[in-house]
Amino acid sequence: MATWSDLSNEISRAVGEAGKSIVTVQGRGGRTSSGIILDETTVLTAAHAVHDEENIRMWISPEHPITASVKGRDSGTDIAVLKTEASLTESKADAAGDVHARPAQFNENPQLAVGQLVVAVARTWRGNLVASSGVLSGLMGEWHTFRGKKIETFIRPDLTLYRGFSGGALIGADQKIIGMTTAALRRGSPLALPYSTIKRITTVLLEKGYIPAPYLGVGLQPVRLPESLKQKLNLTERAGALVVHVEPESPADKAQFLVGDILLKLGDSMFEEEPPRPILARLSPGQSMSITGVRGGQMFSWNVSIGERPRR
Amino acid sequence: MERPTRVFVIADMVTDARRLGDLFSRSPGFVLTGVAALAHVPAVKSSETDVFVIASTLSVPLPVDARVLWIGKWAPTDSDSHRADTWLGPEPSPAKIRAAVQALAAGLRVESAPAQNSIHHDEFVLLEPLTEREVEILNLVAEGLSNPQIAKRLKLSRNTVKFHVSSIIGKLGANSRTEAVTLGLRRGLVII
Repeated sequence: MATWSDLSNEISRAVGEAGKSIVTVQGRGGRTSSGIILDETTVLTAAHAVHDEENIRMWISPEHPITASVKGRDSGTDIAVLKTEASLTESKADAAGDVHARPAQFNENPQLAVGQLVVAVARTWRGNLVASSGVLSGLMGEWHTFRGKKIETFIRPDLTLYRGFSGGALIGADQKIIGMTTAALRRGSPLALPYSTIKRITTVLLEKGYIPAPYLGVGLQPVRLPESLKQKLNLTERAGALVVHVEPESPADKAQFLVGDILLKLGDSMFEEEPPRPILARLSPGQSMSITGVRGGQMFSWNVSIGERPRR
Repeated sequence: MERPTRVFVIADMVTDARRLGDLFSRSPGFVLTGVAALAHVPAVKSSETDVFVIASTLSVPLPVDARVLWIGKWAPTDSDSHRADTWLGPEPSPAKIRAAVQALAAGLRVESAPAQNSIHHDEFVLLEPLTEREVEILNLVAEGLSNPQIAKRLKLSRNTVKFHVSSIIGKLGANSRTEAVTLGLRRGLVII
């Protein structure tokens, strides 16, 4: 049974190697989750597992906790970046010979296929490495989370993310990290965020501390268009979005949106086909968009510059 | 105060008409000008009544300029409905009926939500509007903030935020935070 023991040993060794970049994160009371070391003072973890902003503790071995604070978080993609005061990789436990923390090695462009064997690696509150394995059960291209945020690749492993696994790593046969595991983006079903998403989000989080959200500054209600209006204006749309509120000083206010306008299209997206929020979520602050709608019974087109949601 | 809305109720049976009529005779803002069974509708003038409420599937002889709210299982057929402004499906809530009558009296057209969307019976009117603070918190919930994060932003205690959030969920008739956000979006309470 040499093949079996070879495979088994190789997986176990890979878990041990990946584990050198996995820390325990304690950022919501007594419960812990996992984190991936990005560099000597930066750790990637799941945003949902970190409620506190400061005095977050993390460790490889509970005898040597390191204090960290939240540098930035984006609950839309469930990504948080933590910064430590002390170096993570300058291991205090080196003398004892049992801890060798090091930055994670991501596979930036993994060749994924359904059925590939993958392993989730995490760390418990005791500092023990834990693993869970399965095959890649679902793969897809770009998708959007329920908050409308883009994830570059949909990666669903068929394995159990036990409590505390979120924020840990998913590794593939090349023993590199495919992505960060989280159970919070699809009703508890295990998912991995790919490197491309992690890279895009963490770069902005490290710079700004948050992800600027596209913003119009309107309250909208879905409305059906009266038959008479459709005929009069020769419209094919059956529904639109009625402006019921315009926030003062907002992009919508500056673009002179009026309460009572019925919006039909923003760019090429139709309000008839999709709720306004996912339409807006695909845009970025600074983009100029054309709006088509009905105002006072007449077709109307105007431009709006997408703004950034104010931070209160 | 504005002039009360004058309502005349017609149903297949006079007892049903009276029951419906009670909705208006007991409510401020309405005056019941009469109730009648379908078979005994007196000659009524539209100058004396703003809205006719009809709980029947049969056609009723009425002035051509009358504003009519139909209640029943079926929408009135075309031949009957040359002036049937509005149809509310079967067994609408009293609040819905009153809101529809007022809207009709104001010259608006009212349509029931399609059947597959009518899970929330009281979607038509929010009986208790959200307070300003609740709207503010709903918008933060929509941004994806947790209760402790909202507490920190608004300098409130966690328990106060929790209290507000459950009140928002209750008032909107939602089952969860996510649903509260969806319903808030649909009502234009969540600013996007």
